[in-house]
Amino acid sequence: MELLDRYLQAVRFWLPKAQRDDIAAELSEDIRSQIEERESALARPLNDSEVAGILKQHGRPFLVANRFRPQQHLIGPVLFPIYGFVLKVVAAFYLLPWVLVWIGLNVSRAAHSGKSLMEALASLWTAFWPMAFFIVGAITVVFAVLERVEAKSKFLDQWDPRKLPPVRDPNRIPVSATFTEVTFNLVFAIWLVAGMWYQTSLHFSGVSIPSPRYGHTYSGVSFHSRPRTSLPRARTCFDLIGPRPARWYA
Amino acid sequence: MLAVLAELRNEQYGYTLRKSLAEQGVEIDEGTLYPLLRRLESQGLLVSEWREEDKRNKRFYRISREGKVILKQLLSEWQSIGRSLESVLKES
Repeated sequence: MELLDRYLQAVRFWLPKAQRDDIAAELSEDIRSQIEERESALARPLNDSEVAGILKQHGRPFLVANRFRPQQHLIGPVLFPIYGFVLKVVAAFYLLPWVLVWIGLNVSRAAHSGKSLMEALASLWTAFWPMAFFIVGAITVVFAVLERVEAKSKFLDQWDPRKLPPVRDPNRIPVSATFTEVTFNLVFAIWLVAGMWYQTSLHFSGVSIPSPRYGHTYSGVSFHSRPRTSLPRARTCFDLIGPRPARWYA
Repeated sequence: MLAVLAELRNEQYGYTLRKSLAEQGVEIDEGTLYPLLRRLESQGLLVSEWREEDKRNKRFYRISREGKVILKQLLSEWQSIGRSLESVLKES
């Protein structure tokens, strides 16, 4: 019976405290009756593997105990689709742009400060996760609270069919497409202007650009440094003629 | 649930209840039966007590007065569903 006691102990661990002894005693009684019946049919005591077979049939202790608990959840099936939708929207309109802007800024900063691209990406990795976890965690907490409030107030039941949005025109160009197009045009325009601006400034400082590729890379990524004073610009000019080509190809 | 309530018009403990239901073709495994018994008891449809039998403590269940009322309602509901379903099946 040692195996049975071990089984009951494992079940007890997961049972609700208030009913623990009661449920365990009843379960023990059920299993003992079953064992005794088998023993009287076989006219001999059961061995360990036969007892193990009976226990296995009853199920894993955690699952057996679980059936005595009320069903619990953090975010229920009603709110879950909204939760998933909000996470997708946040990923697409906050996290993804964040990563893109971050890459844009830091690759150019790395080019200025002489850090390698790998270093810049490694710091992206360390900066991204705490931020992403915080945002996902905060949304989850908000929904967990909403779930509790919704269960009490039933605010999802209060709605008016007349307040639904009008039917969409299938021939209309969606706002998202327009928005994407405008954004890309803007980014391209800034890139172009920044490139021209840098080329102009380089010509004014009287430095010849060693290779076309160099100038192109430079103008493409560094528009963020426009507000800086002439000191860093002077440094970058120095960098241009200095013998440090390795980092540009790292 | 209906079967459990009906079967407990005579007092029984868990193991014999499970066996007698199985003999009549209603197989309920213990992982379902015991939580169900507890739920019915917390709803006041069953009453239970621990009693010694064959030198072992067993928990005996029997239907409560309220349980009997509910059982009667459930039975008439069950029968009316049965009748409706029968007429639907006959038509098609």
